[in-house]
Amino acid sequence: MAAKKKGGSAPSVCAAGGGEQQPISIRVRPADVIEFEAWMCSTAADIEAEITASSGATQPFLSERGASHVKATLPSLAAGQHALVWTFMFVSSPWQTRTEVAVNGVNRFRQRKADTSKKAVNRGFLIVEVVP
Amino acid sequence: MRAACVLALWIAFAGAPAYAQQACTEDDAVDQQEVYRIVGLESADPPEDKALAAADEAADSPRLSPDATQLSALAASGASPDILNLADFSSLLALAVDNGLLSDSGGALTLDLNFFSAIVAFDASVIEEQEKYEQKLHKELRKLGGSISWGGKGESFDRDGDGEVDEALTAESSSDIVTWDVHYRLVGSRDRRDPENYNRILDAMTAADEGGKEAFTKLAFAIGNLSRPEAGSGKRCRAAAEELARQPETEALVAQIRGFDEQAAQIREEVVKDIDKDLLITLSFGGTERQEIFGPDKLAAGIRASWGGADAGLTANLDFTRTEGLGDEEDREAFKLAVSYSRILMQGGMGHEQQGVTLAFSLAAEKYRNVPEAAHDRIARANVKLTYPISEAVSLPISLTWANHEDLLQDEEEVRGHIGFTFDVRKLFATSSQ
Repeated sequence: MAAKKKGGSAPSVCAAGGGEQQPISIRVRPADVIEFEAWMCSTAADIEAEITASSGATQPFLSERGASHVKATLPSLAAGQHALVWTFMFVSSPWQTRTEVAVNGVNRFRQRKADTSKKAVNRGFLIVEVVP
Repeated sequence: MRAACVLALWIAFAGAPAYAQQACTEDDAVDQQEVYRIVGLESADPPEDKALAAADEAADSPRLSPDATQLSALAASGASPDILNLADFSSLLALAVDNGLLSDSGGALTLDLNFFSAIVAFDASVIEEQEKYEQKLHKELRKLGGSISWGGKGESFDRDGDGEVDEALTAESSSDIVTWDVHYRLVGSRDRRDPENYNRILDAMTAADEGGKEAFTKLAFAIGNLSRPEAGSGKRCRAAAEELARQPETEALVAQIRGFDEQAAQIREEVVKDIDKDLLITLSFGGTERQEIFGPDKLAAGIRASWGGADAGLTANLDFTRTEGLGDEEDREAFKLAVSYSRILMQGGMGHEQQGVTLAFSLAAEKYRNVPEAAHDRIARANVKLTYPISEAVSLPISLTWANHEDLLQDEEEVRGHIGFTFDVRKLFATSSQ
């Protein structure tokens, strides 16, 4: 996981950022600002993210292609449970990713993935519980 | 429709089944990494076949140099004109070797002119970050390759004019022999990370994945609804997760998600195969400058084009070489043009394991000036060859060749005027005796 850059000792941007935190859910207030951020390394990727309420209503809030770094603020969420789901699709292997979710600027989720085989898709989720 | 499906499943899972209410301590709770493994979305084990994984990585890794498949044996090589060259780079180096432009003997210092690799060596972010990778400058540099060699061995020729070929001499100084070659990919790209290619791949993959997101969202809600060790904890109880994994609905969802992921990988492979059939045109230039005792100076230029794959493909080469005349001799020049088209016919209905038969048309034209070794100043040949596969290793070729001079057909079994016919049954007998 701790990929190193070729020709240098600096870690890859996908390996940087500190230790992983992978809760299944986070609890937030309605007024909190939730930011989703992702890094793609050594490949071209399609990056999509959306948030689905427990009622089934889905709001896509991010769709980028060919970017190595994306950052988006989630739309306002009503009280209740929501599933933040992201899908990364890659054109080549190997690839590495780092995905983070921050609430009011404080990191609450950090996940890294890497693949050297033929895996072409990486999916992830985080349950966001909005409490009044 | 999608919202309705999510809602239906959410209701199904939100009904708080028994396993979702199992209490646990924080020590018995799992985070995402563990829950992925429990429900079967990720294996805890590394890939079993590391060699295969490494091979996959090598095949898919962005190339530091222009694409390569094979490319040697110029049209002038005198071989059957259906043996042509493809327009890629590693074999383009062989162009220089074939023409004596690059010596494979020791003692030569060779500088690789792969500028993109040089940049990556100093700044790995160029290959790590897609925005930098696809910058125009870097994209152009990936089209360019070449090398310069100093020193090495000259060639055997009649150095003292006594009518006998003298042995090649080895350069004593690096400036005695300088050999160079430059290649530029003029048209086409097979690099998966070039925008024109990644858009094709990702368009196809995303179009087929709408159901994948939906299934994954359902699973996310199901996991989120599991019991937790304490109010507000981000983890979920392991026992509840294990029970969830055993539910038929969960198994079906996981299978569905894995199915979409496998389909995406398959779609990627199919589009990549199409990309690898795109037209590729490459220019190449090379030369050798040396002291006269090491041999004549040489200059070569060529253009190579290839299109299509194993089932149907076109290859064309145009090459020019000039060899400086020694002493009072005039310079020697050669132009060579060769075009070949091949196609597999009757696939699934003929040949070994229904592989089909290969039909190939080839044309070659050569023009020489002051080249005593050439049989004629102008040579033209056309060939039609049908190849029938008898086994995995052996094929039976039937060939019809026309040439503008009868003596160019001496390898053919039957010759009538300027037309030769060959039906090579030796391979058939070789097969029978095995």
